[in-house]
Amino acid sequence: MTTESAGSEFSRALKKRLESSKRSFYFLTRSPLATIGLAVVIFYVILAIIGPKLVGGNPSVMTAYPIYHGQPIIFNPLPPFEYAKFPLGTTIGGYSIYEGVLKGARVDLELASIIVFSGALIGTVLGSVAGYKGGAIGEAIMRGTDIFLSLPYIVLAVAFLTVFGRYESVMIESLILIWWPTYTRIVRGQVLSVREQKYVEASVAAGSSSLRTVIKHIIPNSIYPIFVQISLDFGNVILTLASLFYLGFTFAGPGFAEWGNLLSRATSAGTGGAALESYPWAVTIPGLVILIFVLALNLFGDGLRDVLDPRMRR
Amino acid sequence: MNKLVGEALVVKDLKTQFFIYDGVVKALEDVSFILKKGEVLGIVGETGCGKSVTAYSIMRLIPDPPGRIISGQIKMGDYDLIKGMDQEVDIILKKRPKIRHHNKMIKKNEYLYNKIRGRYISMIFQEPMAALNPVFTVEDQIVESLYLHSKTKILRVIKSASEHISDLQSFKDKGGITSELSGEVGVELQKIKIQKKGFESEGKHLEMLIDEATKYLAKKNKYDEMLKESIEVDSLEDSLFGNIGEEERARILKVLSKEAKKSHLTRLTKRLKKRNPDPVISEARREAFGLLESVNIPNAFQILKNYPHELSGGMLQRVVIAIALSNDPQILIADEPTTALDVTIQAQILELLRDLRKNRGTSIILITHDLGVIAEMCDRVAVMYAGNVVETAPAIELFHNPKHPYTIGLLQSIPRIDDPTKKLNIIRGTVPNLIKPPTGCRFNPRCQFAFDKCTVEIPPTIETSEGHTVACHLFSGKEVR
Amino acid sequence: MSEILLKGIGIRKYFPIRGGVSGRTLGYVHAVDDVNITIYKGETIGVVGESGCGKTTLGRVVLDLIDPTTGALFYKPNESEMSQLEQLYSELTSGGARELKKEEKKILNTTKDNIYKSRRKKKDFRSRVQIVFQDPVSSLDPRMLIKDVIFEPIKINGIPVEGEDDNGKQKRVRLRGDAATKYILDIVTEMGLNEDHLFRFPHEFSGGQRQRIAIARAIAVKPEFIVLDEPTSALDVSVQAQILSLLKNLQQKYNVAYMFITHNLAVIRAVSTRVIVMYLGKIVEEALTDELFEYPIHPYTQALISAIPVPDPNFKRSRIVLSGDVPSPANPPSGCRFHTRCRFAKEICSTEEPKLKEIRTGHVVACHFAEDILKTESERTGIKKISEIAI
Ligand SMILES: Nc1ncnc2c1ncn2[C@@H]1O[C@H](COP(=O)(O)OP(=O)(O)OP(=O)(O)O)[C@@H](O)[C@H]1O
Ligand SMILES: Nc1ncnc2c1ncn2[C@@H]1O[C@H](COP(=O)(O)OP(=O)(O)OP(=O)(O)O)[C@@H](O)[C@H]1O
Ligand code: SF4
Ligand SMILES: [Mg+2]
Ligand SMILES: [Mg+2]
Repeated sequence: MTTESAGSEFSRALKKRLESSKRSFYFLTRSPLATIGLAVVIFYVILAIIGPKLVGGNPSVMTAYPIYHGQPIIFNPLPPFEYAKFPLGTTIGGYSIYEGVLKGARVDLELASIIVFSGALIGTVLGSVAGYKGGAIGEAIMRGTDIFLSLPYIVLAVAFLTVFGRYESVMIESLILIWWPTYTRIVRGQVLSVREQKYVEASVAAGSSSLRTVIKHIIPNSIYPIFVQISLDFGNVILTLASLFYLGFTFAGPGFAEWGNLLSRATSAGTGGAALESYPWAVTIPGLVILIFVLALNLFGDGLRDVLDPRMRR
Repeated sequence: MNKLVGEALVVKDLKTQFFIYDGVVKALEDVSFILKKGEVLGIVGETGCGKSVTAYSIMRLIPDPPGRIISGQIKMGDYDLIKGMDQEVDIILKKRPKIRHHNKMIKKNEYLYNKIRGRYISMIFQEPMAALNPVFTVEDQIVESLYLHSKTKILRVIKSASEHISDLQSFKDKGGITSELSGEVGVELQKIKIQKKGFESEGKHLEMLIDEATKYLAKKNKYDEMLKESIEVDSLEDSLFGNIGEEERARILKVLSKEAKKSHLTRLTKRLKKRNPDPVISEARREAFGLLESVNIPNAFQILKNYPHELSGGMLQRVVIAIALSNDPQILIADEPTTALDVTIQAQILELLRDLRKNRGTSIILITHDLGVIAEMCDRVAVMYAGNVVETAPAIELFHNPKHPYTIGLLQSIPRIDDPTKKLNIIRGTVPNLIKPPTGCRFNPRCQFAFDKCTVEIPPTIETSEGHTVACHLFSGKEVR
Repeated sequence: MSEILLKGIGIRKYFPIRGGVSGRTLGYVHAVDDVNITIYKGETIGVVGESGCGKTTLGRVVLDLIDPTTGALFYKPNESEMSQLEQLYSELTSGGARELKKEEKKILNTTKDNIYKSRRKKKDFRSRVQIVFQDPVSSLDPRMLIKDVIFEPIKINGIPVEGEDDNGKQKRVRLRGDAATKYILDIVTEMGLNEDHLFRFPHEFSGGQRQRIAIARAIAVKPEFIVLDEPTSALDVSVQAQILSLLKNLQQKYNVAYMFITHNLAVIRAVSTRVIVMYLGKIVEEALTDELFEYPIHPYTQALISAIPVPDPNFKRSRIVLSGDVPSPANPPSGCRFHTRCRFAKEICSTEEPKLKEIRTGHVVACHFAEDILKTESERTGIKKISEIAI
């Protein structure tokens, strides 16, 4: 092989990978629900990227409009589709729901990414160690995992926020702490089966160190199921975040653009029941935004699972 | 029907394809062969050449989707199994037109074909575990098969036992079978004797037979009714294979499929009534015991109560063979029955199949890729390559006078234990992809004799000598097809 | 005989059987039980036996892929040291086979130069030996391109060049960039694959091609010894013949020693120079190939040979069909492990374990009646004798 052809090595390898992802995509699109899920998820991601730019201002804080055209709207939310300035209406405090939804997409996706990916990373590392090394270390890791899995996670997060104070970092860390164990468990199971594969032994026979074997062979071959889990967890994390904000365990002011926070505005002034009757949109619109996203993620995750499971490939 | 002349099964121009993402897998292309009565026909060929697909096509077990039998005939007597099944599907669809698009539903409703599969053709799979249900004991599975297909025989034995109940009693008291008995029970006892089992086992059989005979005498009418019904159904089924008109056949199919459905239902309800078990079932238990003994399973009574996972591979394969034999099928298809086993266990299983053919006259299709097994077992051999039958010949002729270049290459590439100095000859290249098979002769890219005609024209099948056919352009002669 | 490459003494591998909720050890699978093995430079030693008799385990222990329960392994041992060790060892086990006492184990395990115990030796040893597995599907990482699969051992070990360094270690160079690609391409061409194949994933190949890739990967680092664990069992005969001749050519070219594990005696006959027959973790017979096939002495070997189907319908012979299954290695029969299935078994077989004895020159057998059988039986069961009877 000469230098030119060695130069095209990369592009050929890339082409191969593309071909195989094209195939996966084909299988994914054979399930209509998964395709819809994927489309919706992509739509939300686009929203998160361009949304805050569309409305302007601080990308994570909603602007308050206590008075609109001389009317105090702070406790009298405006209905949707009536004022061009507030296409989706307003909520208590004079926040535009449209603005909240768009900025919230960025905020929520960002927070969720940090939490889910950190959790997945920690889980993968611990799971690989537990699976590959086994023994006392593995046992210790798995018992720790069991403990964390048995704790009710909202309670744990609330406890952390109460004890360590309401800071963004505390919320993120407490949620990461909650989310890693699932991944540990999945990865360990995978590693246990991959470890028995002959190519792992072949690599050991070739003189590969444990660390190298884990990184080069075991992790790449055990990681696929966690993509499914990540896609499902995104929804769960966003729901949890929204719940925490809704319950008032926030680290930011009332204008913080987070979907749960936006939702909680409507009921914040002690008007829980009344909110649904007198300004239902302030509850239903953010609620729907969350619902659709979580649902889409679940549909997509199920489709992904089918694609990654070779038995489903027919 | 069991005379040892004529053809047990005729497969003609069978074409089976799989429709998958990458394209159409042309797994079988005009496969034809004949299985004579009482013979062992070997099908040999490399991985992926369509041996299993042939077997599955005969059993109509091709997974659909993605597979489908496109065309061809599989004939038992005058009955074309493929057409027959389509007829049955028509009947089902007439009754329930809505399931037209649900392949699985139609399959579930194929009562008749399920019956034929057990009673006339049985199959042994390569993986014995896959053929057994892990949640039922060995006994349950054999009994189920017997109950489905051998009701008549079982009832006859019980009836005959009741006629000879006093003799049986005296045999038992005297300790062992001393003289011959007439009737079905006599045949049954004779079978046990042939298997040369010790007295203990005979005693057990006798005890169970007497038990059933007593039950029979208590409910004579009911039993006779059952026997009559079952004989009727059997004779109807048998008549399907005779030379009768299409309309008549359709009528019989209709009656049978109704009947089959009924027996399916009664079987379910019987299962539920555990406390008052069907007498046929308890006789089937005895029969199951005998079957396991007949396949040389030591300690059969114990094994009956085991679950499949508790048995070793060789033992499992014997259980599967026992199930396949349970209904005295005319045709047994064994798809690599010993590939997963050790050589010493393989020798045991082959011995068993040999006895089987000798004692029962079953026609066997033995699928394998081991030419050694073929040489030991088979009367005639069909060599397959890439979905085609390329050569058929009597075994001795094939090994000493192979014609097709592929057969020659195959024979030369096996290391011989009796001839270590033999130089292994290599067939270059690998089996082609059946989505885009080579044009002309499918073997041409690997053939050392290939010439221009080979790449363009599909070679015809030619009979070079009595019973020796070959599909290759190198030979000329009478075209068979 | 030529230079000794590898010598294993008193190798045992017991796998614990765990059970119950607490994972207590309920017993041991005696996968390999007290095996001595010598491998000479450039030879092919065949290992046959039925499934579960410990062939693979022996191969893995000999390559130091798993730690043995007891035993010592020496790479190019020095002769005088060896004889001393063998002496010690035979003293240790003179009371018949038994579990070694703690202090005895210690002696065997801490011997100087024992590869199992020396980290430094281990690393060097690794780069000189390789393994090829039976299953061509699972032995290649499905997510790696073929070029990376083949390059992996080269990347880790480098390839050997002439000469040794001061510590007796091989000198090795690491290849990079174009030199590496060219080197791989040469190897791959030798295996009958081409450049295009380098950029594919394992699942795009047929079984035979995958096995070629696995062999390419093993041979790439120019090892002195390769364990071939049933390299052709999953392949068709035509492909098997291709692989066997490829292996033969490679052996001639690189003078590499093979340990060829298989259950196919015909293949063993075709490729190996010496054969070890194993039954339930023990060696029951060992001899040069032709010797073994002409004078099979152990009743198990005889049964094995007679069970091989010969592809010739005219080939007639006395068939010895063994009754019963292979007993579980977790609970091996007492005395001679084969006595439950043996046609010659007498009282003594179930109580006393037969030791390996030299019955003919270089032909060792573990059977109480080896001499008698040699006189009366091997005439009848030897393969040459059979084929002469053949029509
Ligand atoms: N379910 C299926 N889907 C797609 N293709 C199939 C399917 N089953 C079989 N085939 C294809 O049909 C061809 C013949 O397969 P078959 O299983 O009959 O081979 P075989 O001769 O039995 O080989 P082996 O010796 O490995 O059992 C192969 O090319 C295979 O890929
Ligand atoms: N990692 C392990 N843990 C526990 N038991 C094992 C392990 N590896 C092998 N064994 C057991 O050791 C025995 C010998 O196994 P081994 O794989 O060496 O047999 P083998 O001769 O290679 O058989 P085969 O022909 O089936 O490959 C078997 O009973 C097996 O179950
Ligand atoms: S037809 Fe041609 S290619 Fe095919 S086997 Fe005969 S000679 Fe070879
Ligand atoms: Mg098959
Ligand atoms: Mg093995």
